[in-house]
Amino acid sequence: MGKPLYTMGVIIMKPEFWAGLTGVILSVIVWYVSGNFPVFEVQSAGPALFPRLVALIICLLALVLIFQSLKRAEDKNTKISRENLSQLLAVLITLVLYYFAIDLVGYFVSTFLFSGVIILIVQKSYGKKTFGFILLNSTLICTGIFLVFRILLKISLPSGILF
Amino acid sequence: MDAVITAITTVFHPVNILMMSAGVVIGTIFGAVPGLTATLAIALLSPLSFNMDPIPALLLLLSIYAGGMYGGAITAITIHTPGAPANAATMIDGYALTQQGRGGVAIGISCVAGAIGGIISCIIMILFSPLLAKFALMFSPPEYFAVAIFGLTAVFAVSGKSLTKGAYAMLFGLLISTVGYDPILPLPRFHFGSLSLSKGIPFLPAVIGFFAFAEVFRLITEHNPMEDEKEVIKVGRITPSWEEIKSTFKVTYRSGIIGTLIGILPGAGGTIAAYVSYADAKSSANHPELMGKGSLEGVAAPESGNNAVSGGAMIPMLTLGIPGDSVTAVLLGALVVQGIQPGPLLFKEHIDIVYPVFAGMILSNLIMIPLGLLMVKPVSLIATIKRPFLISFLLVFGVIGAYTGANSLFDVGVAIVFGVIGFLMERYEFPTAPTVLALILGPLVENSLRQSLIISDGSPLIFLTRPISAIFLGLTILVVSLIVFRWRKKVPAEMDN
Repeated sequence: MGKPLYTMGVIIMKPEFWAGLTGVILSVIVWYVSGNFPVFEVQSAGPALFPRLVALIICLLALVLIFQSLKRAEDKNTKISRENLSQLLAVLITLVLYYFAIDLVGYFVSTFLFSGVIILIVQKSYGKKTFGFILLNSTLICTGIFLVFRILLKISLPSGILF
Repeated sequence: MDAVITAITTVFHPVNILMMSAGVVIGTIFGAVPGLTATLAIALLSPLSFNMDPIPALLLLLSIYAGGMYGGAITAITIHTPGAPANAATMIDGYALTQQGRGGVAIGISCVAGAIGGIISCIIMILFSPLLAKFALMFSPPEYFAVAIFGLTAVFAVSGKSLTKGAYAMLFGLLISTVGYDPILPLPRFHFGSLSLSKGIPFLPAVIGFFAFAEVFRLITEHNPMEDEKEVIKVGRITPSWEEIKSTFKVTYRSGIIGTLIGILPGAGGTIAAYVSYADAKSSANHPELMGKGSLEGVAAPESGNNAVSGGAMIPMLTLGIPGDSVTAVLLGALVVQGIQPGPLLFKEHIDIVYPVFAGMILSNLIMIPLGLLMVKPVSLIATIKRPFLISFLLVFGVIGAYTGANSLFDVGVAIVFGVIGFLMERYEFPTAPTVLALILGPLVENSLRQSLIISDGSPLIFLTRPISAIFLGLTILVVSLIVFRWRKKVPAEMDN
């Protein structure tokens, strides 16, 4: 009883299984949604043809991937260390917050803060950086962008409620 | 003849010279820094080029392509770290020369050989593109469908270790390309009520996500403290003597031709060209006994080969509108946004742009020689850039690159999402090159498929009854069969081991 559960645990940890499952779900969604597309004069050339054809082949390949994940033993360790994973998640969350902040507080303020926060997050792996380094990094980046984009190329950037 | 003279005077305009010089510098820097690539530079700067006139914009992007390959050689030779996989072959003899105190000359030779290889490929491109474009005028939807499918298949067949994963990645790209307006009817598809999605997935932000953000995520998760301690080695004399250059002529021009021919093939990029050129040089070199131990010919051959890929890869992209690798896919995206549709009609409707671009590609390779030699020491220092700075630089410039294309934060969101997807794909060995190509070729594939079926009143036999289409579909089946056959031979051998 324990062994099949353990084996299933190993299988569902495999990326091929999840990629395959995603492919199957995506194919089902595409097939369903494209069923509502209008009928075309030459039915075999309608708007649903290509998405459905691609979805069908993806579904078949997805099943192959799932089957391969069942057959093959776990061959190499692709685990990310806990520290790196937490840094990755922190960077991703910061990036998403940056995305929302650009429109809210303005591009330059959010960029100045974002580039500093990123250094603070990754410095655990790459060595602690001084406050001066962080300030210099943010200033150089914002100045460079201001000169190239605002002055030279005259591209407007979101200003938000601040600068 | 007037067009040629106009093209030459156009490229010598100060703005265009400045753009080519800037492109070579940027490409060299991006090529030299591990983690950055010329493709990334082109993807990041393409949105900027929308605000410029087409000729300076294209010259900037194409010069980045020229400088990018050379940049990777600098770090391959000096710190035993190729800037790109295509420079790994250069590292064999290049680093050996550094250890002998002749690293500077090795870099100088790589610069000169790379420029010569690039020029050879440009000449071949100039001679053959108009001929191929004339031939391509005979193409109709079935031929375009067959050639596009062949191109996509060739790319996924050579990308990555698994045929299934390569095909899956390619089809994923094709599926994403169906988001947005139907190419024939005015019907938005898979937009789920979103106005932004109804315009489709924007190509350049997706590419920025795949290359810039995914690379950042990789740098964070694969941090190796040993990588941080690269010191800059003194390189000595950089400018090669005339005798040194002459001694590498034979392998340089042979590799230039090899690289160009390999560049024409979809999916076969700089890495294959570099290794094939190196292998050819081992037998054709003036001093084959020195190969692998510190031979200038061992540096010249792969650098000429990988730089020559640029001109070769441009041939199918310009004449058929079908890119053969990620770089030309991104260039295609940049051209389309400039309102220039590559294909056989390019040579009729935009000859005023084509000839200056041809001339500019040759000139940028020539500019690369003095600039490249001057940049060796600064680039060697830049290549040891601290990772936290590189990470914050890539994220910030990735965001602004994604934003400036359409002044849209939605595009930034697309870049972030594709960054996550690209990171997961690379991590679990799903190649991203087929996805990128499929994303740009998807509309062409769908349009040509459906138009062909409309012409034939729904019969798929049209693809077999037209000779060119039948040949390319046959080649597609042949490529897949060869790869499957090779894979089946490999799996039993691995199981025996």
